[in-house]
Amino acid sequence: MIFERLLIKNFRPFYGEQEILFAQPGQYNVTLIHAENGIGKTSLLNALTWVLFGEFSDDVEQQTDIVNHRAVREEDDKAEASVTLHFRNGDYKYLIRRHVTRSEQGKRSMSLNSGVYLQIDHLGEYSEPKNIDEHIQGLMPKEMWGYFFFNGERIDHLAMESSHKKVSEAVKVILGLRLLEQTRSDLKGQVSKEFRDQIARLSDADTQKIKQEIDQIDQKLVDKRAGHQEIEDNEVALQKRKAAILEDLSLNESMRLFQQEFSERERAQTNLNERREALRLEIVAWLNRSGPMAFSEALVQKARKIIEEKRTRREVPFRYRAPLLDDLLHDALCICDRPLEEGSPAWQAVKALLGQAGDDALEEAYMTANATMQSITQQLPNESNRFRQLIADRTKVLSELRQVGEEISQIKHKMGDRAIETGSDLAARLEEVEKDLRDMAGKRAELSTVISALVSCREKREAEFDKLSRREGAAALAQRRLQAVGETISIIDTILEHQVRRVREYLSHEIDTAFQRMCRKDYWAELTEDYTLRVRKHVRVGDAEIRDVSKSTGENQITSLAFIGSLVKVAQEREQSKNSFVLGGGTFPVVMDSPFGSLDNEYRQGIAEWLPTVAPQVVVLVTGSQWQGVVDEALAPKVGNEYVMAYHGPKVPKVSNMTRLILHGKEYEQLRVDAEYEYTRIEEVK
Amino acid sequence: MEETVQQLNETTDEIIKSAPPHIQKLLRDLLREERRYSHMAVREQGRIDKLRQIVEREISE
Repeated sequence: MIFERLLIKNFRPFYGEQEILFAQPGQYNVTLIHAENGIGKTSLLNALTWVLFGEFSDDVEQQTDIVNHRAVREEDDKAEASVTLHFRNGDYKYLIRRHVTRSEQGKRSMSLNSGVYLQIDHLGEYSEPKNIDEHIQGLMPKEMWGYFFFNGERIDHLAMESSHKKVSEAVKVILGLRLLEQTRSDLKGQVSKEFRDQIARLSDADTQKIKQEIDQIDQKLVDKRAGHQEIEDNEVALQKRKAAILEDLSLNESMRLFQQEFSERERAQTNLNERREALRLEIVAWLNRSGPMAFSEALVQKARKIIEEKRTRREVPFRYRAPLLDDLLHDALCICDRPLEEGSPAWQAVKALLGQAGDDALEEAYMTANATMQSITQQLPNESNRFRQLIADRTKVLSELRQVGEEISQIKHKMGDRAIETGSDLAARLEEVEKDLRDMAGKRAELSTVISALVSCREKREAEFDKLSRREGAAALAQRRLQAVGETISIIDTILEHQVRRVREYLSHEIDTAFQRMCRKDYWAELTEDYTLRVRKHVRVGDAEIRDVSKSTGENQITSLAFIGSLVKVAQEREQSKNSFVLGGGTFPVVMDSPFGSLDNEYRQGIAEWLPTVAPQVVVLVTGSQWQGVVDEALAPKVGNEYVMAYHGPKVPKVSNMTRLILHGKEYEQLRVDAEYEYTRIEEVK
Repeated sequence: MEETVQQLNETTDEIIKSAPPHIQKLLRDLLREERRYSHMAVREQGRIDKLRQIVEREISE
């Protein structure tokens, strides 16, 4: 399976039709997509899982929310989301298209219509099969897509001990061993039963009776084996739970420290929020009180200038008060006791002074204005300084709040969804799980004994059946066929035993080769006989001794990547094998979201150098920070096609870490605040 | 490591050759049929019938 072209229309965050042309196998086999977190990397990966299988990865929220919101708003009930994938496999070319329409009928009820279409082109001959799932299943097993399309930061679980069953299943299914097991099982079950039925129909009563007994035993065996399998599944689940508890126990201490740090940061955040509110109130009070003053400086200066000019002209303060002059003229007596006869020169002189005199109110207003303006002039520098200080304090608090917010977010990321339990709670849970495991082991042993007894009984009955059925002609032919099936099963058992062992050894070697390329430490990786992925090192104490390494998250991540890469490589070799006894295999592309995660540079460089070799076709989604430095240097020479995902919306998203991306000397904006509704577009990098 | 796939094929061939000729033929036919459906998860009755028919064809007397 090699991807050629992807068309996405109104699918989740993608508005309108978007196109990606995939880099093809060869020297430049990497398709690189730049996208920051929260704008559609996961959705792009899930466009592939949805179109092929109609499924989403577990980390996709609101999985029924498929049609882009802006498209729904604009087109109402006609809004349609679709994903079309063009790909090829050998001589066959495929076009698969899945679509869904959604109409909002009010806000509560919604209707969904969906469909899928497949077209196959085999050397110019076109067909449109109805059994689409079966065709896709033949190219990539549905239950296995998580090994080819995945989030690099969440793949580390494969390297954990509890995943050995999952790893074993992946190896067997993808490399065809499960099919060989199934062939064996079908021959032993259904096919053998049909021959026995034939024999019984053609035989006497005694033979038929024995056949009925065998059928009854078979039915019991089916029930008991199902019970046995159920117990085994429960044991696996319990082992997983036990591993998680043990991990929690070791993580508990670091989690406690995280929690402590988290609480401190939260307290700091609360204090800062209180301080911000107090500053806001202070600023409001200042604006009410002194705000006008700040804007009246020019006016005050102008008024003072006018008064100063009047003072210079001796117009203010008033030298004569009008009521006093009125009294003198009324009393016809000056303050120097000289008479003021009406019309006399002295009377006229006093009368003339009335033109320059002011009254009491005016005098008081002048005095007040003068005092106020003096006060304003004196206060202004202090008030301005106070305001500047308030603004500076607020800026500082906001900056500290942002810092604390980032710290809280980082701690939350490290803590994940884990809650802290006390050590005694964990110990109690561990004890409970261990008790359940002991119970399960007991029940399993009981069932194994019953199954062994039934098998033994069946063998005896079968021997009697063989002996009786040989006597009759047509029944004898059916018996020979039954015997041939038995011999074939025996050979298949030997082939299976041989292939399971050799394939595991081969895979183990490939995993180690890939691991060594990514990890520069003196460690090696192994796929053990129980299909656990282990990292080991030599410890030289006296004679050389091998020790398991307690893997870090980074080492788990690269071990898991090494496993997937090796699986893809061996699958391709098996597909190309001409030997009809080598079943399974296939050519698979690998699509990785954030394969570099939060790893340090040493691992990043190793992964970047190894990635182009992981599969014939590789699609990588990275954030700007993951792409920088060693990753860019190591991976860029292998990139065939390159795209940038750009966010459009009404505001900067909360999780935004977007910057302008400069690629090959050209600037690409990853964030555009230019739309009423959020959506994402994919641009080709040229 | 191409050699390993080759080795795997060779050893598998040796195992087959240890069986009587009619079983070898039967086995090859059965697995050739299965190889066509490498990844099919669902076992349809039609496929079981196909396996039975191959046995009937190869063991006919």
